[in-house]
Amino acid sequence: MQASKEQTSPFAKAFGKWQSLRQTPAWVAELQRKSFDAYLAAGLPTRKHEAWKYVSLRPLNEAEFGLAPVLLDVLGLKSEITKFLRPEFHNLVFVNGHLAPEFSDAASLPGLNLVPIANVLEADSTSDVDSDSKSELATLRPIIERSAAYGDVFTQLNTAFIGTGALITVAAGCAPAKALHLLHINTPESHLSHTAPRHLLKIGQGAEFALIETHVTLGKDTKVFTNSLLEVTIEPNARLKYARIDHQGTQALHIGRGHVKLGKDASLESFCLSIGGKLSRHDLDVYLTGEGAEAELNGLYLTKHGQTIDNHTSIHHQVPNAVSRQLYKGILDGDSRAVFNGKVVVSRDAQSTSAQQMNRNLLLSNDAEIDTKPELLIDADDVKCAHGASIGQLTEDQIFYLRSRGLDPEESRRLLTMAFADDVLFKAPLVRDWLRPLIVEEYFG
Amino acid sequence: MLEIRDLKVEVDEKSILKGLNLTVKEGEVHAIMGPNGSGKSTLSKVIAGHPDYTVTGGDVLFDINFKPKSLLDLSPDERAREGIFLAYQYPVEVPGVNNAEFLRAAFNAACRHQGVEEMDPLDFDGFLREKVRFLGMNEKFIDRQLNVDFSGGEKKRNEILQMAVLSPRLAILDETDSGLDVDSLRLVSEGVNKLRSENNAIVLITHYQRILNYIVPDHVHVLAGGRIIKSGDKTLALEIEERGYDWLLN
Ligand SMILES: Nc1ncnc2c1ncn2[C@@H]1O[C@H](COP(=O)(O)OP(=O)(O)O)[C@@H](O)[C@H]1O
Ligand SMILES: [Mg+2]
Repeated sequence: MQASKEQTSPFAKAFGKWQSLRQTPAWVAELQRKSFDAYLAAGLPTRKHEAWKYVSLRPLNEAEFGLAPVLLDVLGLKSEITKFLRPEFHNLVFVNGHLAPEFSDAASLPGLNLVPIANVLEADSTSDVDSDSKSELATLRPIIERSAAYGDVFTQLNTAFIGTGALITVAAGCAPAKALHLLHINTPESHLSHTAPRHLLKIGQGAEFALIETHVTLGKDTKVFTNSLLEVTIEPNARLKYARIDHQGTQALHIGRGHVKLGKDASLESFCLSIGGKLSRHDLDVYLTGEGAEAELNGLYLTKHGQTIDNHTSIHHQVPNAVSRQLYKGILDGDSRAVFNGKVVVSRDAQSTSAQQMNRNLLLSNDAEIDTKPELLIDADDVKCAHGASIGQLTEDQIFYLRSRGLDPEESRRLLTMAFADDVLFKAPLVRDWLRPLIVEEYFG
Repeated sequence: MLEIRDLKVEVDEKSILKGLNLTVKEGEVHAIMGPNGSGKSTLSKVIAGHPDYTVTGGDVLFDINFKPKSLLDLSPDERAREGIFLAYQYPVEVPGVNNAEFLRAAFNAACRHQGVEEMDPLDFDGFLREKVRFLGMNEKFIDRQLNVDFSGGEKKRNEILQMAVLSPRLAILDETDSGLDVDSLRLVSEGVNKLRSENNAIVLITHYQRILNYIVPDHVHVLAGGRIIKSGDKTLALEIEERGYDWLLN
């Protein structure tokens, strides 16, 4: 049974190769094997699974995804990559899943410790382990063991392929001046391959940090599968600003998950832009585990012909007096599809919870389809929960008004559509000036 | 520059204009008066090219490059770029669109059409502020969302600001005076008067004679039952003010 599943899995060959290539300690190899078996036993979810009700994963089964190749001449891509490097951030660049020091200007700084996961794992298997790596491993091991047990198939698959990504630690009380930009680029050479970036971020007590996670592909027809995972702990009184940009090409398949835990009086401000991919799914799970914690989740997704973009958020109010606010906006054009599912779970003890959620959509085409669903599971009685969803179109009156001032139909539509996008974009000052022109060019260019 | 010939227009299969004729020459100001529901706004929207209105007969000719051309062949935005401007009776609110950004986009669309260089944001800002002061408006206007939460009077003045920015060849002002207090009316009228020239024309749609004291028309027309039923000079407006429309309708 297992054997036949292994044969038909789109990742089986890659997994065998991955294991034989890496030099990992025994416990890691075992965890990988166990995770891969767990994935095989469960199989990819189908539309019968509640969380995958609206989106078919069939495209994943239609191809076999190998290991992404290491590029020998990374510098040859200089002009294409520098487009995405932002001078206002420290950049850590991964090309086809492999760290590219040539383009990275991020390094450990006072208060910020940055180590590639591969280094941490390999350090354990060599005898002359220095004490730093030991402590990094002590941080890493329980996290990956815990999430391996967590039951999500894509997390298991990510664990099976662990090795790409970084362990990032911000020391208590520190506030690094520049944001860190994790830039993932897939080149045409990685066509029909699979990468599993995984980053682990810990922000110490009272520290402040900003993280940007970007995924792009080069080449129009590059079909890759990305299974990304970000695990974050925000300790008491610490703050994180987080932006996630999925700007992969129209053939790319991407399943991403963010798992964020907030302690007492900690805060998270996140902004997720999805503007790429044939299929792009992002789950953002937020756990408010300390009183006074605040999470603000904003998002913008834009679809065009042939695309499916699915955002699932879930916010777990586990203690009293925590606050969550969400605004996700969607713009859909052509024959495309988007999903927004906003789950809010309020535990029995989480009195005086405040949870707001809003999802607004603009349909530019009659062929586009949006499924929006709030999911409120409330066990406490003293809570302020509000949710809303809307689906609208550009109004003829507004279009005519602009056209009667000389704007052509495309420009009128663009102005009105960007006006719709702007209020959520303006909630992300970290990336707004970069992303706004990018959206205009990508979506209306 | 504008010649409307036997124009027939329907909305929702209801006949509104039933053979309307009107000729407007460069440098002229025409006032169109008429009872509520007589089709004045319909006429203005047909000239602007609103898709809700179906022209079932006649033609609207406008001089383009010194030759009369049917406006009915042009899209609303092409008409605007040729210099037609409608100040709406009910300007549309456009949430999220910045007033200044919108005006610059409209101005630059006209520049592109005329083959002249577009204005960058900084130069345009200076140009725009000058117009705002010229119309006696508050400069805060320009950074607000287009018409959103504007009072009735502010909306009307914002229309005239747009007109000042775009300097159209033919401006149709649809009841720009209603909702304006005396001071605003004077400022708006002064603004309009300063935009008058030998090369452009203004069609003023109004209910009240009042505005015609400030913007003095060369011709006054009465629109009723879908046609121009009477034309005259500015004294016709005074007569209507005194006697209403009933004497004309019978
Ligand atoms: N968009 C529309 N849809 C349906 N009926 C309309 C529309 N616009 C105007 N009408 C009708 O056409 C007639 C003339 O209206 P309008 O041109 O606004 O008159 P006026 O501006 O002279 O008061 C009215 O009966 C009005 O109800
Ligand atoms: Mg009217």
